[in-house]
Amino acid sequence: MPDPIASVPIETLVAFEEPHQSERRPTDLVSITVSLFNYGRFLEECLASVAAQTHPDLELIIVDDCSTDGSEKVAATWLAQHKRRFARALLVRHLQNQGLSQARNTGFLLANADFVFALDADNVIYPRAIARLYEALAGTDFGVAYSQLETFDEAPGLGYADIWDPAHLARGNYIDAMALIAKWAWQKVGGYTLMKFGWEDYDLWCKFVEHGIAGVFVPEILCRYRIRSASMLRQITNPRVVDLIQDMTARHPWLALKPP
Amino acid sequence: MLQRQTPREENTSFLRRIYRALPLSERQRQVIRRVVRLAKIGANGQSAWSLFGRSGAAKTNEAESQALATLKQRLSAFPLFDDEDYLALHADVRASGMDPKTHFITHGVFEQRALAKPETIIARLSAYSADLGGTSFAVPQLTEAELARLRSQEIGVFVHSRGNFFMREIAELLLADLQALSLPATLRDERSNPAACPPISIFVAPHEFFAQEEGTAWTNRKLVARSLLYPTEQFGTSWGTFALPYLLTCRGILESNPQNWRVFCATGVPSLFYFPGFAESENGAAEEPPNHPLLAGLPKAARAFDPAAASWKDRPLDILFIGAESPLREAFFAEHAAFFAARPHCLYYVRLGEKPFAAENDDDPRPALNRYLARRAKIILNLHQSPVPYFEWHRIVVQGMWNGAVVVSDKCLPHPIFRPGEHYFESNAESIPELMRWILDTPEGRREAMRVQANALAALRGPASRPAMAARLADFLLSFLLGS
Repeated sequence: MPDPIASVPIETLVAFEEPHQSERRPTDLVSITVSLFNYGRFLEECLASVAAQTHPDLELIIVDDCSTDGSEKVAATWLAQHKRRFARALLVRHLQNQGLSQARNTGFLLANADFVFALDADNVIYPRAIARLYEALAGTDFGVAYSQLETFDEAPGLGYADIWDPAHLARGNYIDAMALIAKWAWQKVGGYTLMKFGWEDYDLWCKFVEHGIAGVFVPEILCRYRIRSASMLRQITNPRVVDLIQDMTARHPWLALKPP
Repeated sequence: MLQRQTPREENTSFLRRIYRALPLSERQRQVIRRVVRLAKIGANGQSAWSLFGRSGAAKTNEAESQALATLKQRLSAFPLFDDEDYLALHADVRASGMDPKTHFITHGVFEQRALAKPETIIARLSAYSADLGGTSFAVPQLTEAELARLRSQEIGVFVHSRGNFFMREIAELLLADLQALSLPATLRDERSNPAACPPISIFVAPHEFFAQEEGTAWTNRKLVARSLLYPTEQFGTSWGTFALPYLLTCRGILESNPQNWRVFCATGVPSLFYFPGFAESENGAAEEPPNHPLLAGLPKAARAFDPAAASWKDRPLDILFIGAESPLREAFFAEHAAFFAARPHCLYYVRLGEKPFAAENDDDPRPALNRYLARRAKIILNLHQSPVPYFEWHRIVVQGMWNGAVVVSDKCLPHPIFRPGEHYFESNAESIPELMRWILDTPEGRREAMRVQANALAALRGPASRPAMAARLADFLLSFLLGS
């Protein structure tokens, strides 16, 4: 039995459940967990894209990692207006800032569905995203489904997604966190490792590889990844990349990462 | 002072962009590194040119000067090399005072230096588009005696065993054309004995074949002078540059690009405008789904679809694009991402420097994958990789038309058989999404698409059919026997 994944103290700011939800129990329910830290100005665009999904049965879990700029209020206001789109909607707030890994784990722990989409508050998904990823993942042995990305804002382009290939992963991460993950797979590998300086998604994929869990690549542009010079990854991880490489290689000795 | 350059130190941004845009596998990158090592041999006093200059016999300075002079003469007649551009692009050559053609032949080829500015190349290629309508596609009627004469000569089709899988596919299609006339042709690779080349030897993708280091047994003037070459690369790219000395000194060229074909004719090298012919039986065949992980990510409707039993309008993928990354392509997809995201599509955008899916055995599943996807797509999108707008025969004809898909392309240099608005659709890049929307969503567009699809099929069964292309190929090969 895998160790239970640590939960941390939270307060629930909004909790909505569709009436008769517990009786209806839609079989193709998908959870979307949105991790929020001070990205209130991008949040509405993110949440609107979730509400616009073609896949009907969704639950939305917003995890505020103790924002300091009132971003959680943006979330609460939006939910007040749009919660009925969802079978269930939650806004919870960590009592202390815990970092992105824990914010994601909190979302997964609270999720009722078998499949959870990890979405950061500054990103956006196209309307067919959940439906297509769910189609690729449901009823299979894959642990994750992910699509090609469009990068936008300051650096328009395409992402680096490609077919699941451990040899390719060994040379560097090419699969973004924005993916539909089977909850059993997340559970089996002990959830996201708590990593302060980024690469928690890469670490999760590496753990999947080590547990013999494979992913499925959906060759469509379905998700949008915001690139800004001030984004977390560029702020925090660039000076730390050598440390990250050493840390990752220690945990996953089969990696073949080269320092920049 | 001449600076020895490796491709990484290349100071022309155009070439760097093109180089990055090449669909190179890990194996091809290994080949490039070998070529770079060859170039560095010159630093030890031995000229890189001498590797090409070797004739297998005792090398004399006179023989080498003669070879150099011949190649310079051919290069003078080659319209896509420009002395002034070359000096403008490569400051060290200008500073050294060396003649640009001499530098190119002895160093520039190996260092993959640009032949001319991209705008020059585009302008010159366009000039060779003027009278393509005059190209004859009459099917030569060979007599039984002529065929018998051809059949008495072994034909070797050479392709590098570790090269790009597209090249192997082209070689196999060429072989099929030859075998359709019962010509004794066999597929060979670099492991054959160079001293035992058949009387008619055709080297597919010479840029790959001759870039190898082992023994330099193949890179000698005499072998090249009596061989036919089938180049696959475009000028304005590094690989196009690399093959040039071989192309200018070989016996004859099979060229599938009409502008390049005219250029070679103008240069004085016997050339046939040729591309492998379409055979209905092969392309209508029922298929096994290829063993490729990409299939697992396709919509269920695509995996359940039977192309033989359904019509074009029922195809489950609206749009298919498979291709390597390039700045032009990336800008296009970024700008029109929302259009694609709203529709069932398949975009396989290959990043360079990655290991492609490694097949367990020699049978590379990617040609089968491309066919499988193309038969399930309504539209195949063609976007140029480089600024030079070649008509990309492999994607447009083999992937698109041969599989009953309708091709939408950005603007191409003219082609004598396949014309825009008649056999495929073409527009400038910004208008492509609107064009695709019209084809997919309006009754008029769908009707036009069916008309274009029917026209393409008629062309494939007519001038581009296997019997037609095979007959023209045989006629061309016969001319070498008659001349020998």
